[in-house]
Amino acid sequence: MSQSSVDVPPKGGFSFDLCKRNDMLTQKGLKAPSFLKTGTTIVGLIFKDGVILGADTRATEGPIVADKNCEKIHYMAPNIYCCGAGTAADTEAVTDMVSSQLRLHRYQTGRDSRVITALTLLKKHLFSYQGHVSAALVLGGVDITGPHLHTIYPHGSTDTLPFATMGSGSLAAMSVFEAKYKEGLTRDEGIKLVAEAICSGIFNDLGSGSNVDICVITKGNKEYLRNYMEPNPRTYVSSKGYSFTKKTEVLLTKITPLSEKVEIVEVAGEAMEE
Amino acid sequence: MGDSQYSFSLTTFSPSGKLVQIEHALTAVGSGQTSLGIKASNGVVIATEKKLPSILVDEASVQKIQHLTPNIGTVYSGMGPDFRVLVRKSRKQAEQYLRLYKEPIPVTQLVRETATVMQEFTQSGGVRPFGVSLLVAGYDDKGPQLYQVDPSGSYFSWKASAMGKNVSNAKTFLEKR
Repeated sequence: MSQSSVDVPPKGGFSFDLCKRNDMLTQKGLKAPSFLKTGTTIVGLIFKDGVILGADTRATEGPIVADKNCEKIHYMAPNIYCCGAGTAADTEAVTDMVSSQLRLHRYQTGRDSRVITALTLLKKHLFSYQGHVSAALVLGGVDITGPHLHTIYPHGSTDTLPFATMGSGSLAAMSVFEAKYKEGLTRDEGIKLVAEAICSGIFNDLGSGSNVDICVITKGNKEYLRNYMEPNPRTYVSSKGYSFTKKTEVLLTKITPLSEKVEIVEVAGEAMEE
Repeated sequence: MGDSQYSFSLTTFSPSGKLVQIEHALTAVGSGQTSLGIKASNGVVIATEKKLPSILVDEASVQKIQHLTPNIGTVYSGMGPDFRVLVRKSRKQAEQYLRLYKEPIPVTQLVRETATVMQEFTQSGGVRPFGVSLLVAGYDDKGPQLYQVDPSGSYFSWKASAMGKNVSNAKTFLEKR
């Protein structure tokens, strides 16, 4: 049976044609393209006045660090932020799409978005792709019903927790939380604990590294502390430069332009009217 | 054969070259509540008369002026329900533009897309034109702008404009001042 254009979703059931094609290709020996994964340690916790989210900033592509300072805390709504682990493109695309849907929804209703709305939109999308959208998220925010923190797994299941960690560094971070978390933390205590948990992931997990990003969301206010901590400062090449003792002598300098320089004179005229 | 014999079918021209349904739509607009807009050097003002059918109606629930984006708003003259539908479509288009280009939609683009929607309803089967004229006011990097969009789908940029009841009085007043 021939398939019509890919844009129209087929009626009834999911279409896994491309998955079958991919399996067939790998069997024939074609190596699948590697994804830019975000290794990652992402955490969230609920404190006295709201929610604190934290993330490291390393993006890996296999054994290579692809981005030393990427942003893993994504904006969803003025009062809701989402940390993403897994395939970077997937987390970006999914959070972008849901953020757009939430904005439209806010216009229609005239109200602030609720965390549970974002949660439901995300899990609906992830479930419909049966785990192929590899995005593991920590969603946190404060809405009219109070502070909320959720984790979302790539297959679409969710948890509601007072503190949560995700990503390859989640075990390292969770050990810090399990030892030191208590209810009713103040803002500074909470930030300190989140930073400690992320650092634990940065130092003990290869997939996480570089700096600590923190986002504090309270009722009516949010603070995005980009690069809150930089425990891995990069030393650059010395500004003095290198000095070499033995130099090659320059005998002759001759410059030959490869092509002629043409002067372009702009004639003042009417711009194209729409 | 007079024009009236062509007035039932929207998608048929009359011998005089008019689409009579659109003329009727403009009449519907002309009997709606007055609304007007004025473009200033540093902004745009739009206003409308909010006359409720009875004092029992909850005045706060009626919103005649709506946001399409944080910097574009709109007001109408004509049929309220048609306005609601257009606002919803326009908001979605503005949002899609923002998602695609990561740029807030310029006023002209949004006006053009809304006008395209209105024109589609004058050339499709089984639908009727919108019974509203919109005044779209916005402020983008080209400065303050004011557009009027008609049921036919045509749009114009105005320095000041009025629509609805008593439009001739309103326009005379605006022209003078």
